[in-house]
Amino acid sequence: MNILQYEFVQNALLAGILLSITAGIIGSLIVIKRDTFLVGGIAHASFGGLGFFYFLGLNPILGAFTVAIASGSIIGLSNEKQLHSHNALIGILWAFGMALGIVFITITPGYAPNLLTYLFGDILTLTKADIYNILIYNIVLLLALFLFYKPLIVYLFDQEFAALQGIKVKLYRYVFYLFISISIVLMIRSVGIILVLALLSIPPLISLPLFKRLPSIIIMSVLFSLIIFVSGFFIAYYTNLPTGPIIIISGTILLFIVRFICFLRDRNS
Amino acid sequence: MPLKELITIKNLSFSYDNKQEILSDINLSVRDNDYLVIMGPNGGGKTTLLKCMLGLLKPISGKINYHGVKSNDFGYVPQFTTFDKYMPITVEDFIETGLIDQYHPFKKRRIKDRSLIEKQLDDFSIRDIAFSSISEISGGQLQRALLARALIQDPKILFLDEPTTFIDSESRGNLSAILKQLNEKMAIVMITHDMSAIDDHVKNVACVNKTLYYHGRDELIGSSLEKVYGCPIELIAHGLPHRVLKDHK
Repeated sequence: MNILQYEFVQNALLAGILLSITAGIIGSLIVIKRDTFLVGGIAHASFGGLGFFYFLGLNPILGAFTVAIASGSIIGLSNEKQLHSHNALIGILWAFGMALGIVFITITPGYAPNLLTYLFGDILTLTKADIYNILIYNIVLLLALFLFYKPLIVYLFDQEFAALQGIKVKLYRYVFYLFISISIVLMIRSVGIILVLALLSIPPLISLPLFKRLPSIIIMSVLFSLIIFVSGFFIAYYTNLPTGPIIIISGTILLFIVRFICFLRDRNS
Repeated sequence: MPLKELITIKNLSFSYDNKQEILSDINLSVRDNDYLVIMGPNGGGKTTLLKCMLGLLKPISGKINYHGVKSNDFGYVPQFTTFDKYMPITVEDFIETGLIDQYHPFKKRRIKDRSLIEKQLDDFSIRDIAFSSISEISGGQLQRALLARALIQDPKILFLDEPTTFIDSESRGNLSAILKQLNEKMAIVMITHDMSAIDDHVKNVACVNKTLYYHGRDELIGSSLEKVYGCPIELIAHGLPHRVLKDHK
């Protein structure tokens, strides 16, 4: 029987395609802004919220969502110059969130959930509702990107100049981190907290040395996400290995191949 | 008749943390057609003063009055270190960012914008690198791209922050010629610690090290520079690098 006939496979592939769009766009912006570590902080801190909501008997993803939005807001509203000198604080947030999450899940009475599901995700459990959420979010993200692409570029590139040109830098920063936080939570269900960072950073890191302009980098990152996702998905299916890690491993291998080719290209030129 | 003042700074003080003053009681003015060079040691507050003038920083006391100029009449060439040189953006797109204050999400780009960009590419001889990424061009080329961006909307005052730091001597010569020409149409305010940047065309020099030590050109003498730098500096022929005569104490 063809595996595409299973509904959970269809859902997983659909979600993968949609999440590739999310990851390609947000990932490119994050990598260019050099905010990958910060994003890792938000993703891992959200595990604390996840555990707490699980302990309360509420939907754990809502807990992750709340904490991600809260930490995204704190970062978005704080002084950027201070923030970059506070990597240690991000590291603490990262570890503290993970620790809290695990403690809450441990003290919750009854059947303990498989922690690996949240850490590494399970795309095969996604429902139609999850897909609609991602779809709606992607539409909003694309619309925002189309309308505000030009000022966004100036904001990412040179905030002082942006401020001088009348761009509301603080508002851009806040909205930017809000979008990042929502993307992270949407991706947690499918690839998990630990792998979110990889899925956001690997595709743009592949595209960066190949293209000169941000629009090309974004489009190609979406494409690379898709390639990584689909190949990883089928490899995982046929080898009966967990999907999330296999997706990331295939992405990392592709990244090294492309970077090696670029290295040879630059050496010969 | 003295020229009309465009910016008047009165008793300005600035501090980042309200404890240590970076600038103290500065009085300075930028006049119409001025060519003002602000000098001083690193950490002396030159850039801070410039940012106050641009409205990017708010002074803790004192006043800055603008006479017939607002922030979109300012052209700004920042230091190379203030922006991300590895950003994936082509020279052409980079110059276009100088028009960003005209951008509206629901209006199409006007043809006029296109011709403005074209003109800058020609004026600054950077057409051949228009599609190069800003990370792969030389310091001199990047400097011209920065000027092209700053000047795309014909500003009334051009501000430059350490424009000679990362460029070679030939580009410095070009820059000096470009600035002389621009000064016929607009006022120029340039920050530098490079004495050679003070050539014949400069009309006023201010020395800043927390406070303003000197303002004016004709009285430019070693003693005020000595106060600012803490060592005597000989001023030699225009356009040549300065020489330190005596040992630093």
